[in-house]
Amino acid sequence: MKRILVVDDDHGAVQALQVLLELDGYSVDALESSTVALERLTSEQYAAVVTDLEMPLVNGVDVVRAAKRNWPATRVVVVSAYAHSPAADKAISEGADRVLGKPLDYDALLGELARAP
Amino acid sequence: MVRRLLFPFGMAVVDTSALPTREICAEELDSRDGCAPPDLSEPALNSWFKWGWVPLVVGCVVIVTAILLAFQVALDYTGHVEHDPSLELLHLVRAVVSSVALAVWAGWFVFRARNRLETAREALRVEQARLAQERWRAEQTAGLGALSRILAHEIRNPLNSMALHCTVLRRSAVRLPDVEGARVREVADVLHGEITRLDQLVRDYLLYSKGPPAVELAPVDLSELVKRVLDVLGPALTERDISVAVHLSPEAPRAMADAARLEQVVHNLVRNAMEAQPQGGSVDLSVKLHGEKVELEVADRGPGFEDPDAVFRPFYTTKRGGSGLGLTIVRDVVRAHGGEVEASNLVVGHGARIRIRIPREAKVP
Repeated sequence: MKRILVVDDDHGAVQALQVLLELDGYSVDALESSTVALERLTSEQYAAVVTDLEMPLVNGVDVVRAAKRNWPATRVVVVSAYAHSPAADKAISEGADRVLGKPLDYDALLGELARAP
Repeated sequence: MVRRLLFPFGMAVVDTSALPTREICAEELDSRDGCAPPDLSEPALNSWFKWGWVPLVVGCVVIVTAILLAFQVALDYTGHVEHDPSLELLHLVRAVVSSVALAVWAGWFVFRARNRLETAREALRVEQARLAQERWRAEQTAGLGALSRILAHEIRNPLNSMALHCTVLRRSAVRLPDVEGARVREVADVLHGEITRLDQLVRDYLLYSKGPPAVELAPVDLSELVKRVLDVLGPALTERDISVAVHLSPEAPRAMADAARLEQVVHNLVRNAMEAQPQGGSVDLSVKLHGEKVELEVADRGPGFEDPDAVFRPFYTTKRGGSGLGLTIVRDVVRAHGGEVEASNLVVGHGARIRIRIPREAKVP
């Protein structure tokens, strides 16, 4: 069972994604704090990380950087309200595999997670 | 409005119709730092021109009369002129008439100067009002951009959560008995439709707030472009029972255009035609050559435009919940390609038609 880390400061989005991904057979760690996510990524490996981009204190670019630095094989998908923005470009340059816009196309996300190791 | 400035010796006519009808210079500009126009009244000069002519004219009459009379008296006493009391009244009248003539000339000179100053001041006011209006528009655009970015973040995040919960609902409905499951799916579909509509609003505001679009031209296969748009809108068209007839002229398969921008244009046009026919109908989409231009036309069988001239105006909409920006974006993108756009009805009050023409070898203005 693939392990997925979901990071988003929006409680509703995290909750719904956890339910959906578990229904689709993934093991999900859902976090609303990007600071906690950074700590988690130093010790635990995930098949994929799904992270929001605009978050307080630590933003999604930092999560992407930490995930790719510690676990280069991890597939990282960024979800953002601004899919075409300098921050999204920065996330790609830090190693994000895909940026998806909000509202999230769940089928597109499943397609990305299917490519995760 | 024509303001007539009446003077004792003339009349200035100042056309003030060019002044902005919207009262932005007083309340709105005053409420914003640095936007209030400078005081143009120049109180001292103004009041001089308003009342200064009175002592000037009276003074001229008195002084010139006194000088002429004194000169006459001096001539009398020095014996250069024979003293004749009967001529004294005549001398007095002549002196008064001369002085009045001089005063009239001086007054005319002053009023002509005043007239010119008033005209120049009015032109300055008009220019400053225009500049203030431009600045106000620039601030509006910048404000709309900032507002749109806030909207994108603050609305799309809850929309994202709602969309995901809709998907949860649909998944859960599978496990319910048929009737209940169908009801839950129906509710989820309605919710999802509203989420899509709100997201489209945000998308339109974001696009519009970025200002005139920059286009990057490259050869574009128009038949592929139309196909992509119809693929995206296909489910919505089917749901609304709308058929699309595509007429692609073999002469116009390609054009120099910005593919992404032109796709947005065609998407907006077809979506507009679709939304005009909530009870179902048909859309005709044709692409053909028109001289050196490529002409793309989208026509529907809906009620037509109430006011075809107004449909490209920002925020103009007759639809519930429309952004009023879809066709404005169409116009802006087409203009950025150096093309033109027009809206009309197939017949009066029935069937809307929008036609765009862009240069085949686009010349960006």
